[in-house]
Amino acid sequence: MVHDDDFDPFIAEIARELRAPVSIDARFDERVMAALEPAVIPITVHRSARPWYRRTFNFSVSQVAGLAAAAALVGVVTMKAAKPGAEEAATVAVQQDSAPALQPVADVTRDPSALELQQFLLIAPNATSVSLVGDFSDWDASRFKMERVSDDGAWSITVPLPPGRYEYQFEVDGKLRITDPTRPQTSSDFGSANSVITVEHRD
Amino acid sequence: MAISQGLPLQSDNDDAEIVARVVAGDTAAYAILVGRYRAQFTRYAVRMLGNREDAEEALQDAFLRAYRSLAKCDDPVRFGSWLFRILANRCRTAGTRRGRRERTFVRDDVALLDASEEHPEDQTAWREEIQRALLMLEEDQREAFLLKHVEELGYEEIAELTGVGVSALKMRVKRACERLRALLQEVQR
Repeated sequence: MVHDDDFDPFIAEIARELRAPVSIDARFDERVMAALEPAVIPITVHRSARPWYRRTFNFSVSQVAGLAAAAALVGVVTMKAAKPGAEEAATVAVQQDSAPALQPVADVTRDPSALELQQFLLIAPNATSVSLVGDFSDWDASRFKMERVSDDGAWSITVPLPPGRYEYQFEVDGKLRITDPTRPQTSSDFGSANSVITVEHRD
Repeated sequence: MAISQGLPLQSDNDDAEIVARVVAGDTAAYAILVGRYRAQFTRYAVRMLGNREDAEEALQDAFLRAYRSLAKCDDPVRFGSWLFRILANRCRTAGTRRGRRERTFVRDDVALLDASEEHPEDQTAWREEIQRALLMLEEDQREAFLLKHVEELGYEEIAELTGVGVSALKMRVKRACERLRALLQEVQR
């Protein structure tokens, strides 16, 4: 049996030496905090600002169909997209004052087989570029460049996706990939996880 | 859980409040948590990895990963324990990476680690030898030794942090002590 309460002066001396404080770069905290700047902030706390909610999103359905060949999306807002191949443009307005905030005012359902339009939002005030990457785009950051849609750093993209489960991240400034804390994540290996979204058909 | 005299891993309602602020969008509040846990977690990382550069990298990585996963922190009053588990994983990863590139222990690193202003020459040399011997331990033994004897955690706490059973931990600590004694008593002679 191993006893843990045996006092050993030699080991105690070693431990005492190892308990001596160690120095660290004086700018360590600053570096950590600077790295947090392009962070994902749950958008729910910014609903009062939500200037981008007033936007009218114009989707050219022919463009949507082209995107859809490679993409599928998940996100904060799901809207019904027009059936792929249709040639008319659909306009979806997102109302500011209805609750919850991120609800489409006008549903443009045209066909039960339609793709779902999934909006992704990220608050990254100090980012210069943000891309959406995921298994729906082979994790290629060049496919879905997000658009800055508000002065307070909201980035948005809306992507048509077939119903299904998708994993994704945001790529900030072309180097930092971060998950979305507002969504479930894969794995328990902290930091290596992807955000997960399930797109379902909406009636 | 008993309150530790080493790593500040006890439940902390103040931590929970700060975590809530950060999750609610007050990113700047995270600096409070960084400042609160930096010093002792740095010491652990430095002792585990043997040099400040790797330790700072592991610690920064841990803080960033914790931040990005903050919404997954189910028990924010135990933020310190949660953060430490992330750090311990980062140290293991860094140790594995270092092992792969066969990095050798740089003698000067140890001298750089000491925050105290003045050390007699022989004490500095002794501390270097201790750190050198520590790095010769198996990684799991080094981790257990540091948590038990340097950070002064109880075995139950260590078990909770590492997911390793108490009996196995005691054995690791025992072997670590034996190995350190053999290595360092040789030096003393």
